[in-house]
Amino acid sequence: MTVCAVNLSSMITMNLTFRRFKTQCRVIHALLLRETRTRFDRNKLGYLWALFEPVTYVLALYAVFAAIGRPSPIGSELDLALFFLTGLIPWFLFAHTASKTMEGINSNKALLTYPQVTAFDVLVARAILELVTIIIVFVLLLLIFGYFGFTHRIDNFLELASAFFTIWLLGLAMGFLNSSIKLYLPSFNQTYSAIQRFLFFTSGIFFTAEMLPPNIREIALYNPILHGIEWFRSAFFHSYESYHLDKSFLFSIVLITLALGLAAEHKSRKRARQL
Amino acid sequence: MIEFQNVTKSYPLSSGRQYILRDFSFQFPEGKNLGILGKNGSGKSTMLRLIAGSEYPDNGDILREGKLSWPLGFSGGFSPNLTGEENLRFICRIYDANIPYVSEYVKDFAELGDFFYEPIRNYSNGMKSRLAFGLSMAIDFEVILVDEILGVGDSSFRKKCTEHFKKKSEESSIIMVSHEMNTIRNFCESILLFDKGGITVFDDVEEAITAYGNL
Repeated sequence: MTVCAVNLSSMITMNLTFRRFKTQCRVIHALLLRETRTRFDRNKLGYLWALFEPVTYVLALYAVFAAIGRPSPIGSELDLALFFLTGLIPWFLFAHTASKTMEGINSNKALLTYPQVTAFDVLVARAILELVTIIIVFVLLLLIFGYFGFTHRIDNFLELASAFFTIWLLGLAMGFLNSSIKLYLPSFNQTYSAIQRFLFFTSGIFFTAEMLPPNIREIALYNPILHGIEWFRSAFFHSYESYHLDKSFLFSIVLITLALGLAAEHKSRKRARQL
Repeated sequence: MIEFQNVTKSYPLSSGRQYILRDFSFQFPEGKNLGILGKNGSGKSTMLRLIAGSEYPDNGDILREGKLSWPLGFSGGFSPNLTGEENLRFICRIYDANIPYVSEYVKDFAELGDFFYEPIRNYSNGMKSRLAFGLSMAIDFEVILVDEILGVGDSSFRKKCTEHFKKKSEESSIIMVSHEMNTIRNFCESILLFDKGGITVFDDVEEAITAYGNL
């Protein structure tokens, strides 16, 4: 009799959990459609900007390196433009996911009046939109590069996808953490953009870890995004293997940031709704 | 089903914390319309927001089953940069409601004309409340929350609101805050009375109204 009662109550709990999960999927789906609308349809330039931002960076870096006559950092097979592209795409994946997710609560405050919409859903929807956008941008740019003769065969697709996903997770975790900090410190934006600028210059977008002087490299290798980009390039280029890539260091940082970010979101949920 | 389990809710004031609920447990009677009475500032609207889930308690749990509306006429949940139609689609999606049906109903009800396809930021306050009101009538909420407002707009639109609300109240249950004793008499079957000393539950509406008059 008791066993039966326990089973019944656990079945009810399971049913409830399943329904909540379904509601949450519905909410995230609705948020995704809504975010896509505001980001791209409202603002037709949004499409172009998503594509032009990395292109302008590649061109600018290319122009500078060509002007000072620096050869491509990795072997001769590679073209400089592809080298920069494979640094910039993972960088933007991290940086945009982190900053868009960070602003999620501010730009969607009205939606938090609906009880089924939580800060978690809003942030996850933003991060997913960023992931999809960068994947599309990356594929389009490879096609455009291919059209201009920079054809390239991706060395290890599975590794490339894993690196991509890991970097995205780091951006998402960072965004969760930052959005919670921002609820208590509204001026955190300035601090974070200073941190992000520092990361930009130490992430290996326009160099490889091998090219750094050993004493500087030792410090730069504490930047997890440098590992992410090294991993991304090792998977992209057949001729490039990184001697300095430490995946377990990268995973540890991602897991720690993710745990902190999720905990911070959970702790600050009430506050997100009050502001 | 709505149930409060040991719920505490307070606000920090310069004179100290003001408690609205202290370790309050209550199971809302299913299928019964409930009125909330109390003096100004006793926490009625906060209670409604706690029920709606747009505010969290300090402590304790609030269990909710089924679809609950936002307070009738409340338009704070719209995104100003999206059109009325886009907001409607979003709300239908999160409440699992039929988009074509709700669109037709709201277009007919809210009298927005071409404004339906304009961003909400171009709306007047009246337009926003008409849209919000129409939506709460069109979606099959099991519980409708009312914070004083039973109708919006001019007097003929108000009349239309009341008619739709009456029809709606036959299939949904209502939880309402009101200072109009006649509205309370018309719709409610039990009462929660907020007093400085705490909350009293009445199953007899007249008895509750007398007690409220004696506060």
